[in-house]
Amino acid sequence: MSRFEDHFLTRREMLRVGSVAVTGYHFLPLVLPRVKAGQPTSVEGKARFCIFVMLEGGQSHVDSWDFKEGPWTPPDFDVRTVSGLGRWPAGLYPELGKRRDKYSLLRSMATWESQHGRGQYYMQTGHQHNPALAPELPAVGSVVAHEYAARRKETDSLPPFVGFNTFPQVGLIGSGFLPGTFTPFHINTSSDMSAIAPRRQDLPDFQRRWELLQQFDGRVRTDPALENKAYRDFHNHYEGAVEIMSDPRSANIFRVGSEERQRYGSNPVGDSFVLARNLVIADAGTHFIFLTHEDWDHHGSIYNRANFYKRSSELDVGLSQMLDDLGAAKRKDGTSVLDETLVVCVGEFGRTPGELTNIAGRDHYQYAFTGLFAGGGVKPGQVLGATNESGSEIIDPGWSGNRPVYPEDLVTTIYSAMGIDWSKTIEETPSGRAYHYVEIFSPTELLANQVVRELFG
Amino acid sequence: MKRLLLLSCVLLSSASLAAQTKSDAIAEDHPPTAIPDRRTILAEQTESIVHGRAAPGAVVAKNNFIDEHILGKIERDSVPHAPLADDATFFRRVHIDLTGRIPDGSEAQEFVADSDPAKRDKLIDRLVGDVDWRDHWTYWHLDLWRTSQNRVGWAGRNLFHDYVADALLLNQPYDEFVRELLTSEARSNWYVGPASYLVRWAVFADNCTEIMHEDTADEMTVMAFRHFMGVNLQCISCHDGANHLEQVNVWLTQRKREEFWAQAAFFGNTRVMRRVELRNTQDEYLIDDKDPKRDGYSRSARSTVRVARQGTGKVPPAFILGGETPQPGKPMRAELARILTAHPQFARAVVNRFWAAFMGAGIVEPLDGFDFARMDPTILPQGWDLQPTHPELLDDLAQDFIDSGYDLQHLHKRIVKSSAYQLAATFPAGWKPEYTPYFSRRFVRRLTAEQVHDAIVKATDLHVPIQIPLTDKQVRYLVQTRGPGDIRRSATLDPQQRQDLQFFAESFGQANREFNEPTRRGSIIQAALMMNSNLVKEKAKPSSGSFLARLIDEGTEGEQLTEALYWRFLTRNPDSREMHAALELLADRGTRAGGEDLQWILMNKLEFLFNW
Repeated sequence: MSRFEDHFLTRREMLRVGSVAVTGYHFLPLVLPRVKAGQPTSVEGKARFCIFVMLEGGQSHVDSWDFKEGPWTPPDFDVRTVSGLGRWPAGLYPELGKRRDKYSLLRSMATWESQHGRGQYYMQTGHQHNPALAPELPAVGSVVAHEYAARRKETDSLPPFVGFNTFPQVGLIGSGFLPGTFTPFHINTSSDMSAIAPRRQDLPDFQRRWELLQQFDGRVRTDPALENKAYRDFHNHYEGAVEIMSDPRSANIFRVGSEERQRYGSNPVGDSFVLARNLVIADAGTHFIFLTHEDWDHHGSIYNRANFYKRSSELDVGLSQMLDDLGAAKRKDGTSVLDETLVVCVGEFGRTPGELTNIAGRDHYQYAFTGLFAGGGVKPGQVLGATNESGSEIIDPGWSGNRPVYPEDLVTTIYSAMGIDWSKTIEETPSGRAYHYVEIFSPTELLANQVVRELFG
Repeated sequence: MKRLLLLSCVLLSSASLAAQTKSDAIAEDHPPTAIPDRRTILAEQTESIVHGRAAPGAVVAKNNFIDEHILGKIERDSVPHAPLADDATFFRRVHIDLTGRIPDGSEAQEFVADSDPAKRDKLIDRLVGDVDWRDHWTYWHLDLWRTSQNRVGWAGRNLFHDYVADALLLNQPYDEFVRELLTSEARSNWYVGPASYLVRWAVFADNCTEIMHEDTADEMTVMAFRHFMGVNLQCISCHDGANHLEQVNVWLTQRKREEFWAQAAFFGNTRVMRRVELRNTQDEYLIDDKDPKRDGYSRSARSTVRVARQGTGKVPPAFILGGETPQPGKPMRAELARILTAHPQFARAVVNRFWAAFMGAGIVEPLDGFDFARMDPTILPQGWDLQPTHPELLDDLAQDFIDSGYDLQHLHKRIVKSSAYQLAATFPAGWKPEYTPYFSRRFVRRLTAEQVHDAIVKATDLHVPIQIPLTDKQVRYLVQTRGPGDIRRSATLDPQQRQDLQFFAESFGQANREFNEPTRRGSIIQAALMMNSNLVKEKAKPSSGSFLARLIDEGTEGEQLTEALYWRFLTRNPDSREMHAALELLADRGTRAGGEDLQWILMNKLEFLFNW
């Protein structure tokens, strides 16, 4: 063990002041909101991790996973009949086409929103955007972080909720009224990640400076008599950063090797798939990962190489590689990491089916689109739901709800898969209005939101 | 499939009304329209006391009417207050608040040594209206108005930026400025500066090209009232206030959605068109009032962003505060601009916003949460407290602003010259949260994302130029950019520099001007970036052209070097312990390597990241 690690073990000892003998302390709030259980629910509970892949802008379902042919279809989409998937654009999604035993498709999704900002917000929170309440509403990942706080292990050092590359419109939604410790740890995979996990050769230099900093700034940061709450809080963030750096696993978790970068497609979303995989395999405290694949909003020239082809290929390669790696990684008891990781891949809505528009694109379409689900107890190889010939209308919902699957149902399903009682309520909020894990005043609730149990077989 | 009626709104919960009517209007009285972030900031500001930066024994004089109100109330209620901030603290604070940048160290030392009793006022007169002041407040306005290049195009954004910058530098009367924003017509917002203020709020149909006429009128109305009237009409843009806002805002509780529509109907003839068909650009817009098809606000118009409208026919325009209607035959937007800027609430909302920008909290909080039913102590609704902490001060500030001819520079000087603004963040002893609404000391806050970056650049004198897209202008500081999007597009930054700078700014809470607002909330990533990012580590080095390299080249070392760096980064002298530690470090590691360590330490001393 290097001198650096020794040093930080000592720093950890120092964190045990006042009988708080937990590591990962910086990710645990002091006071948790009081939670009221709702109707008893049975939950699936096979997943301990969720990787949510957001196809920002809205993937065209009729050009991808709910394929509809027409005179507009370019020949090099190489549309074939694939057993179990029906017509499939092998020219765009060759890798996923080969792996149909790894995931299931849900072709009966719909949303109540047709604008990007509101649609993305809906997917991140499971609640429709309400300007009055938006500031206090937490993201699904923050609720998961809150639920998993009690399960935090002694060895956990990483934040419970991590986001990647989520820059568009709404940005990454934070923890709202939940404690700031549940806010997403947001990483831009294209920026220099050595700030979070410094290279080994830089550690001795850092250690020296960190010690000097205590000498110069220690009192102002930590002395309670000084009443510098802002400084103390900020110092807590410093301790949190040092804890991540001091975990010997971090350097490998926050690193994309050149071989695997290539294997995952050599692009930002590929890198974020690698990092999501690393975080889940490491099991070092992170349970919800939200990663964004940008730029699916193809209003014009959708069939240009730089548009739908490029995005599809990035997704096809990166997602397939991640599913492979998660499937191959085994825990000590022999279960695969994929078995305990729910992977959800979905846009904020679909795109207008049929002929392309007069600028050769497709516009927003909220009434039908497709989600991809894998791992975490999902029974793979299924296709649930079906749309009509053009993809404009859901003709067979394909699940017991017998209606489209809305974001509330999606969130309910995620909570259920992760063993979280989704019927819970938190009553003490800044607005005084109770927070329901799943919105009870939504249009979907009027239709009775529920778990898409069929996904789990 | 029809959109069902949305019920997801603020509903009455069982929490008692009394719980919402706090006497401590700043720290706690936050209805849901306040962003929790601001709530957190206020709590941090009001709970933190920075020691040792006061001028002991200095007389806290009543410099102007602000002090009569603030200090007067403090005296009447026998509340203790902080001493006056010392000169160095004042110098740093006033530079950050007025220009967004930390001051030069040697200028600060000269200021401290200056014996002129009027030096503070003279400094303020020099800074307000200066180009650095203009840069900061232009950026501030564009953040507030969320003028993003994604909404108005790069060309529109650049032009709008320059238009606002000119209005500030020329000190255009603020009411006239706002009237221009509200009435501007343009074939293209890329050629007419003020047009971008309104077209930014265009709401699209599902094809992202056509504009939803009534939705756009709604959005423009909500934003104009948030920005200029201090009230957020968002809730009543979807439903009546009754049975929703009882715990939030008494005045809004009594408002109906129909009244909101009547307000939005002032934009009923306003046409916004995306110029896709002519130029094949995504973000260029026409705005005028000439389209015969856009003749009023329809009750039956479909919505892509709000609860479905109900009813039939057109809604006639009427101003929501007082019911004034436009004079027949006059253009409706001009009438709106006239009525809005002539309303006393306009001046009150504007002075309250700038008061908060300097003082850390508004006289009324939240800044867009004025409750007009809680302004007059003689007719308060049962169970509610008065909303403003200092109602007479609010009135006097507003009147002073009006009397000055809506002179923004005058308003800034007025506030910053008061002793109330110049109090220390230190408190003698026994601070209580109840003192918060008295403004009886300075509230500390973290620097904004741009300010953190700019402080690093200013202190070290090391920078990579940032090119403004579509222009050949290169700037040094983020506050001089035209917006957050510039980093990703700057031709002078290589791809890695763009990513790193973008990540740094975003991590520190830079707004994207789309959905989110700037935040000063701390995070682990911020700490990691200050300690380990190349951006910070490289700036710590005595590279050629840096302040540290110049010191070393001049032969400065030891005590002088330490002092110069302390003034440069923290605007103060090192204390004896710090000096001792620094001398040891420099002796141990040599001036170059030790100086580099010292600069890293100074950037990671938390006071560097804070405005106190």
